[in-house]
Amino acid sequence: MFKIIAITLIFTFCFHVCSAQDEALSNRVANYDMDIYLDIEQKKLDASTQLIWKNISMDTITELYFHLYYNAFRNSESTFFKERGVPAWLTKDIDEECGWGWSNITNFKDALGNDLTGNMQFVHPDDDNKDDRSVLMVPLEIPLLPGQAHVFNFQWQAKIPKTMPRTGYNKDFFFFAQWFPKVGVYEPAGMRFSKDGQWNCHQYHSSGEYYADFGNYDVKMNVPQDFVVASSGELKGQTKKGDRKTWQFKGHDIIDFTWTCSPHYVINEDSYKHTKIQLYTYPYKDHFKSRYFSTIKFCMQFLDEHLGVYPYNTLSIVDPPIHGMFTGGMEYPTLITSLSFCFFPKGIKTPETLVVHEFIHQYFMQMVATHEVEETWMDEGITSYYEGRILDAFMGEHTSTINVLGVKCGNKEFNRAEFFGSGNETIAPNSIKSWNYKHGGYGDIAYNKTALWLQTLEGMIGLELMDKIMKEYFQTWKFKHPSRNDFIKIFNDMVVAELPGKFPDGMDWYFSQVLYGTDVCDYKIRSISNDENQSPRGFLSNLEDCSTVEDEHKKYKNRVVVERAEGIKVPVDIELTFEGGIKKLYNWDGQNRSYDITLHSDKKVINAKVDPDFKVMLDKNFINNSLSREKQSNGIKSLLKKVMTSLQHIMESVTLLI
Amino acid sequence: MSHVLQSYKAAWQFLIRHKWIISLLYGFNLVFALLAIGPFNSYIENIFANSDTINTLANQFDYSIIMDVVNEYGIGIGMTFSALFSYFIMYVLWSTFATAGFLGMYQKSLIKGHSKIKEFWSSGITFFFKFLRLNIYIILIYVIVIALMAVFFMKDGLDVFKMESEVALISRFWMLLFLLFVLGFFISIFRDVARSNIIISNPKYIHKTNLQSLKSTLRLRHISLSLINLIFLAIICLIFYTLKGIEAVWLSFLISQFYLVFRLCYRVVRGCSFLEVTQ
Repeated sequence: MFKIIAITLIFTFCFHVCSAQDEALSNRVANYDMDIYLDIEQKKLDASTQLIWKNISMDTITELYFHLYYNAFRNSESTFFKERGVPAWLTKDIDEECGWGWSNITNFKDALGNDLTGNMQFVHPDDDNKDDRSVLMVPLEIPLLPGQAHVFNFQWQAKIPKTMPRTGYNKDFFFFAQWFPKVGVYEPAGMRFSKDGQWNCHQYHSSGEYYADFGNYDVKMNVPQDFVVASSGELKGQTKKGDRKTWQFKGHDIIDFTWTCSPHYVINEDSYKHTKIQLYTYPYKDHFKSRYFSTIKFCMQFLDEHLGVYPYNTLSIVDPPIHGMFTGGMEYPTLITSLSFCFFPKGIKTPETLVVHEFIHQYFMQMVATHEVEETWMDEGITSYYEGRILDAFMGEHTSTINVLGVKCGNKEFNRAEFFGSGNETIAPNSIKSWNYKHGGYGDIAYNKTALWLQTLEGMIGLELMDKIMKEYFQTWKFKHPSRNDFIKIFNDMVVAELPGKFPDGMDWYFSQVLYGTDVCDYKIRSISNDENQSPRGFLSNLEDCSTVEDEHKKYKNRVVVERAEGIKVPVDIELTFEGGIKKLYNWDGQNRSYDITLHSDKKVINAKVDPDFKVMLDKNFINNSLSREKQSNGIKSLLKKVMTSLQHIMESVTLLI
Repeated sequence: MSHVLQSYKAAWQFLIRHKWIISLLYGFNLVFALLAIGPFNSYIENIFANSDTINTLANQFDYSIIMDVVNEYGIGIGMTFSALFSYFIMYVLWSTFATAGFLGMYQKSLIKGHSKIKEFWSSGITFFFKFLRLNIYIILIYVIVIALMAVFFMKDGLDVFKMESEVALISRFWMLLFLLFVLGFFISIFRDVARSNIIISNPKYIHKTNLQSLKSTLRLRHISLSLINLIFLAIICLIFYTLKGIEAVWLSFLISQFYLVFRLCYRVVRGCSFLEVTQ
């Protein structure tokens, strides 16, 4: 009886706590209240957490699963280290200073004070590596019934690792990412790929990132007084006591919480609409602030207009120092990291690229909270697609990545070249889990290939419809956890509705190739011929007269053969240019291995182009997209002249030196 | 100073009297460039002959096309560059010969008041190996200087995680680059003085001459003469870079050829003026 009353009271209390905040944007499943003490001498965190976890399923929950990500850095036997090994350059002095890290829950109690510590055990759902301690299961004494929320209190400690991927310390720079025991995601039946209710809590793998539920965070960090803290959420207060200072941050409707501190941060501020943008950088890199602010405001406006509003009041951009570069270029809720070096000229657009990429993640993985481990392309790939669009719109096509001393390169071209130059084009499909890219290709496939096939998709359905669908996808799935099936369904439904004549069956045929397949794409013009038209001859009208019909006919029989040299099939445009400059456009469904356009006309075809507007960015070779009857001698001569004069001057320059 | 200016003027007068030297140097430069570009030409034609993309690449740097070439037809790039490099080495050898030739010829004209074409060839043959050896020494000097600079640049290591910031590294880089320019300036003076001394004394072994030349490298007249020559080079570079934006293909080609001719003039005048000053 006591238990029933207690549980009812807990549930009522929790419900009150969860709903007492401002208007909820998400279901707020996992809510954290944390007190953190940072010991910069011992490189340790001492912490207590109150977790309010809500069971939104129709199942009774009998255990909780937690990520203890810092245990991936506990020793060399963790799955994280065994899979790839952390790059040697990152951890070469790890043993000298014992830069290994760990996370340890010392005391775990439920709201009734039942001590659950003794029953906790590490589990290894992905690879059965018994030495891996990155997932902890906590059996509950009091099960959570459907709709209930329970309070759990636990004390924990963490040894901060040195220069590990994305997190750790170096000198007096500290960065805390995936640093606290974080509850996994319980997926009820029907959610994503779940047939029955199940916990989704993967071990920490060396490739791939994270997956967590939405919630509210109230975090107090006690740090040395001279340290400046940048964090997810909004700063709610600072309290000094002796030589220490406590910073309190609150974040709402976010899937993670990250913070950093250093005594050297300088803060610059700007704003976009209701959002205060803060740049935390080091004094010698302060000159990048105008580049950061102008870029991020353009990016925020672009996404605001194309997808929807960024609902948070803050955005913190952290530009770590050179000795903290292991944390650069990452995305966390309302906090992103970039990376710059003080000598970067204006034409090297790395700071702009990183800040845009990481901010797009606020939409794809933070608000539309896809599973970054199981379906990496849904955050990294979609983000890379928007990165190209935004940077091109902001800085101009073909110059948005590099524009130095006449060397120019746009973001889209850079990604395309990176993919086709990687040698990993066919190594794995896009649909596999991140740790299954065992032989490479994780970045190439998840980031670049996805961006390319989304650009190709945009080319097929048109920019306007693409924007409409992506907006619908964002608005439907923000603050939820969609899977690829949800993404595909929205595309199929809207394409069928908007383009019934062009794609009456939706786009499954396309996704099955680019998402589940490993083929590449190459369309080429194989040949052009212009034969003199022959009049019909022989026994034409009867068996007596062997004759030639002298009727009026066109002078030439033009024939252009187009070839699909690789596996991927997409519809393509074919542009023919006739003598006199007349152009005609044809379409081919791209299905067969080859296709010909045969015409009768009075003019010769002098040039043919397949995909003349380069809509099919997945095409691995643009050079063979066009074919001219005449040699392009002007172009060749012009190029050779340039190369030759350069060579002449280089040769003479050497004699200047010796 | 008047002696310096007089030498500089005399070198120009010599060059004007013997314009064929420039024609010869330019002709060989052009021939070597044409020979070097042969394999590249075939390679480009093989890839692009009938594709429209060549026009894009001819008009501007295009990363997409370059990477498509590398990815799809990259096998020929290595061979093309090997061929380029071979012609490059041959040009350096020819330049060494030609420098020995025109300096020997100038020396004769200073002594006799006139010179003949055959003296160009005979001097080239006489001094080629000595000049080549000097070139090798100069290359070695540069290698040693750059190696020392690299050691100094990396004296605190290049481990980014041990650095407080990159500022010190960058300051050091600029400082060393400046130092390299200054050293390059003096190495060039040494080279020209050494060449002059070799021509004047025609020693069996050049070590002694080189040591003498090293001692006189820092003489004011040598520094002034080098500066005067560099001013001329700077002016023609400036004019060229001002005109570089011209898009008409043939006109820009012609401008760059004129620029090359003036650079060749610089080489001849510099060498000859140093020879006269060193006499």
